[in-house]
Amino acid sequence: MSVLADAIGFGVVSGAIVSLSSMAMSLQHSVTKHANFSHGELLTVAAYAMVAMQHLTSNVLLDGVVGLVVAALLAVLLDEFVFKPFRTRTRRLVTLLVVTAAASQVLEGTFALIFGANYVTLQVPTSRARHVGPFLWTTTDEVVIGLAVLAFVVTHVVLRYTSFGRSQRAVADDADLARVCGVNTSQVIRWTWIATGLLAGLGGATLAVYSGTFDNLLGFNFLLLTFAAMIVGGIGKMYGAAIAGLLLGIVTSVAGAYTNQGYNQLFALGLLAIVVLVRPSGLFNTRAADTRAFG
Amino acid sequence: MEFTLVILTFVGFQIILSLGLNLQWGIAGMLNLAYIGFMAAGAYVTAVLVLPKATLASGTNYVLGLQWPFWAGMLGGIVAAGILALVVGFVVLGRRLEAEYFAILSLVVVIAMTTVLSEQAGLFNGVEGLINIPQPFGQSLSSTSYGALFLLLVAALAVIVFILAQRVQRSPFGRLGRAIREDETAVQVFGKDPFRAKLKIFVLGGMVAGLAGSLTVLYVGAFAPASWAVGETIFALSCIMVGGSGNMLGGALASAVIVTLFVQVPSLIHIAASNPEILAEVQVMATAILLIAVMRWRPDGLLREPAGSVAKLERRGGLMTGLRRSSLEPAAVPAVPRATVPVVPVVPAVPAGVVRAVTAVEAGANGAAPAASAEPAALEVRGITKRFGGVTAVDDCSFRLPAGGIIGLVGPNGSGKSTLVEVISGFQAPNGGHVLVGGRDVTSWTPSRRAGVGLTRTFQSARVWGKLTVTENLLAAAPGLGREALWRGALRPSTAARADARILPEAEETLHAVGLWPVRDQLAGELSGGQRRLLEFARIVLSGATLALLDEPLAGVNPVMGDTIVEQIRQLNSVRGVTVLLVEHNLKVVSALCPLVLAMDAGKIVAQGTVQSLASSEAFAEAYLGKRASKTRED
Amino acid sequence: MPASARTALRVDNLSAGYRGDLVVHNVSLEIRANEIGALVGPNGCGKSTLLKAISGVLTPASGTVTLGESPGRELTGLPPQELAACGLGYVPQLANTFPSLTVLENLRVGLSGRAWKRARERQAEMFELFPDLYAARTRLARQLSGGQREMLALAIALIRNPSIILVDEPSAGLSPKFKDLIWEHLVRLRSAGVALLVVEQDVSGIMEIADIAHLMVDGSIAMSGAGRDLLQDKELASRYLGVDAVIAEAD
Repeated sequence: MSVLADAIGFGVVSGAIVSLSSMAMSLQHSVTKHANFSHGELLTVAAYAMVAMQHLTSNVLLDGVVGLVVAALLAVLLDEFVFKPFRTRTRRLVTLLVVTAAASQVLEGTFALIFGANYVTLQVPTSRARHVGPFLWTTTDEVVIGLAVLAFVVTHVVLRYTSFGRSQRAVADDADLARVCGVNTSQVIRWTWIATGLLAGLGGATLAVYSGTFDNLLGFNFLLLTFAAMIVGGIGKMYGAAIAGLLLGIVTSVAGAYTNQGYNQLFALGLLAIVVLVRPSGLFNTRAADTRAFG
Repeated sequence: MEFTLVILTFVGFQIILSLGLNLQWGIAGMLNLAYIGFMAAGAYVTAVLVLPKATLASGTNYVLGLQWPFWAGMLGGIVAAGILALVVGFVVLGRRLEAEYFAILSLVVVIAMTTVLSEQAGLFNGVEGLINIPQPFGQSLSSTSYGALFLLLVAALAVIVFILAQRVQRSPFGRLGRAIREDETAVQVFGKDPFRAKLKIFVLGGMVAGLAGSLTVLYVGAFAPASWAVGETIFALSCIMVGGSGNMLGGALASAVIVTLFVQVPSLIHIAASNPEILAEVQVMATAILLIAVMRWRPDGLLREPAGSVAKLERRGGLMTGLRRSSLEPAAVPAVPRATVPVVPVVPAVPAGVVRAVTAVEAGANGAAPAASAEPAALEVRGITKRFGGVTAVDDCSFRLPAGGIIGLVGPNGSGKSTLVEVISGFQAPNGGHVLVGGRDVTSWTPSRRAGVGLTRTFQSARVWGKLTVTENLLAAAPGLGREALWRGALRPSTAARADARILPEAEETLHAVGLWPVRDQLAGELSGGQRRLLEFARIVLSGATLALLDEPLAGVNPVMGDTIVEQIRQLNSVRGVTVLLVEHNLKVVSALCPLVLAMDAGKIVAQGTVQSLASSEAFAEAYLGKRASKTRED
Repeated sequence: MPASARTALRVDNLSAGYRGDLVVHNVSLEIRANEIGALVGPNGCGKSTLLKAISGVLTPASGTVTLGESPGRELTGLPPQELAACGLGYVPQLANTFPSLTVLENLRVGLSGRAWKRARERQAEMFELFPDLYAARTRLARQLSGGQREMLALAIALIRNPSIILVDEPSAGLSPKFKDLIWEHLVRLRSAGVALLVVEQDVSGIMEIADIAHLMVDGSIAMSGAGRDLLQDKELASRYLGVDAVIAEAD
């Protein structure tokens, strides 16, 4: 029984991180209407930024904040200079997808150049695990979960109760109509990327803390879970992505505990395959709407 | 010398890899990020088949120990890659997923493959990968001779693959693949199944990748999971894009240039030069930058996508085409009248067939059982109902369209005309009712199956295959009849080309008839709106369809071209004998063409008759103009 | 009938089309303040295209669009969000509300982009004009009926206090009861001082309330006149349908 409880506990933490990453992706997809295959690099850049910052300060939280900011910066620069020129010029969705995939390779190569091809280590304060209810969590674990919950709440508040959030949801619904209503859609998209970068950066920072050592493929390897969460939750639906992320974290953890931890990603793939083939609009989508993303 | 051999060998690998991806992406437009997974499958299976049994001395304990000869191992690798592609393709392509889903799934598949292969220590030695794979030609050769021999092998295989790929690209099958890439929906209405063609290309591309992987592993002697991922696919993609997507020669040349010259650029960066791992990453990075640059500023690449080899036939066979052309005397080419359609149309003299049409057409909702006619109607619609959510778009519609007839379907926006066409053509399933074509119940049939019994349609915005020439559009619309088989294109290209050539006379004649002969070699995407419509009609002629649903063919076309289109529709019906259901708003046009018209409003057929009689009917005017002001309004 | 002669919108020799084919040819018209202008015609005549060319969704091939009294502010070719800022509202035929936002939020989007102190006041005014919307204010736009959605679309355009609103087929797909409600609301808007240019398929309905009406055929204006007068004109039906026929008079 405690194997199950431990696995679930572990799954909650990893699920929290997946939620962060997939919430970020969901926000971005809802306004740009295309997938970003370099999304993983937003996580990776935050992780590397933390490592760089460690030379200056050993305060992990401060390092993390810097990581977030760097990720947000990367996100908005990527869109402004790489993706946007294509979005305005081509009507073929695959072109854009190829560009995002190429961008991911460029970033991975850049990381290798700057930080080397070997694994880098992040100094993380050690903490002891203790029982919180049936779960076994360290302080780090609790902080990760807390941050994810905080991020979710903040995002929710911004989306629901601020003028920007309303504009963002309007652009996600119908960009043309939003323009006609006087919304500056370019600005909304820009700020959405910043939000995506912050959330993804937070995911990357927590992932780095969790992993301890990583290489330039940190974020890329996380893409399977991220995409799975976004699709299972319903493309473009932020809340669905968050819940699906948690779900996937738990499912993969439990499955991995009983088979082989190396295979846990396969379970995510399996769940994703089932959802795509049976209900492509996602588990949480109330309408079986057409998910045509572009154009 | 040895260094040159090595470089050339890797050029060979890359050429093969690029050719395979050029099949999937260049021809069929499939973004398969898992492409490299097929290379890996080929590599792994080959290695496993070829490795000797584990011994204490070799220090390995993970192999089957079959120790097959290298060519058998290669064959096994290719087959394994093919099977993998078949399975993945069947599952993913069969569901008609959006392009984005396809790409995402391919990405996650490749990530999953990395995971599994890292874990499967038993078979594949986990993250360390396979090592000590025996050389194909034995140990006795000097390294230079060995290198030369292997290069010869690679070169020979590359040439074979190149010839095959080029043949496929230029064959009728390749043209079909390109048409699917341009517009899959339009392919269906000509009776062709996009899924099977895409699957074949997918498997073929996968097998080519498997071959490349097989050769690589035999050459390098080792293969590990970390050495391949999305980066390799991006590398191959940039080779293709630089060379010109869809152009095999371009892809091969670009591969050679990029592998020999371009990858030297990252070596200029000191850090990269000193560390091979970083170097590899930066090489991929450089090609990725190149890819983005090419897509941004020169998306067509260096060489254009070639039209099929039939186009060459026309030019080469100067004598032949000269002969063909002279047989078409100017008088025989139907003149396209430029006279405007009179504002006050005289109801055309009613031919015998139309008299039957008048008596056979039934009223709408309260339709009694249709009067039995001697022969089955070309099209019969019985009680069709279609609902979307809470809205009933089509409400119990019934009518019959006799062979050779031409009937108009009119009504204001939202009356359900287009939905009815979607149901009849098979793109929407009705909630109730039946559709019969030539007496056969096709209600549950797919659009391409319906095309098999002669039903075709046009769409509100003309769906031509933009990157195919006008002539290719016609050839791709004509029935396949085995021309478009993959094996024929690859193994018997001249037979396939000859089969194409047999269609050329009809294509030429049709092009003259619709007035598109001058633009026959232009890409369909460059035509004006009206010209595209004409191309759609020409395609209908070539397809041999006997029943055509024309959905607002005059939408967005300027008046002058409109007259031409009207004339073409008339020819389609009276000269070629195609039964036509014409959906149009333009009542002038409808009255000029259709002796009989059905009027729809709010999903029901509310009136039928000649346009003259309808125009005088209260119900019709109401449908179009709204309730008269003088009528009392409800409060 | 119109009291003020001030011009709200003037279109001069506008031509527009798609992909090289012109659909609208040299159209000129003028809408004055406190006026309802109607644009009717058979489908494919170009009326929707004309509206798109005026509202900035489509770039015209030639001609000008001017807002306000002469010399006025030239709007030709400006992007939609700038037109909204100038005081030109546009209600498209389909996709004219934000389905996943509530009624209240839909209205607020119309106000976004600027710090509107009078936001609450404007909102209240909208609810006065459209009481049905007040009752449904917390419901999502996609849960509204067709008629309610149309009203919401009008309100979204109206809340920015434009001087003229272009409306594309407001009564499309609505039941007779809701159609009447739409006509009533358009009349109320006119009284509130807004000029309207309405494209409609329900000819009788819009002609009843239009001060100036234009019949478009094949991309050009074929007939113009006061709405009620045009409605009585026997020529109207035959020009509309394009056939030489006499429409039976209703009793």
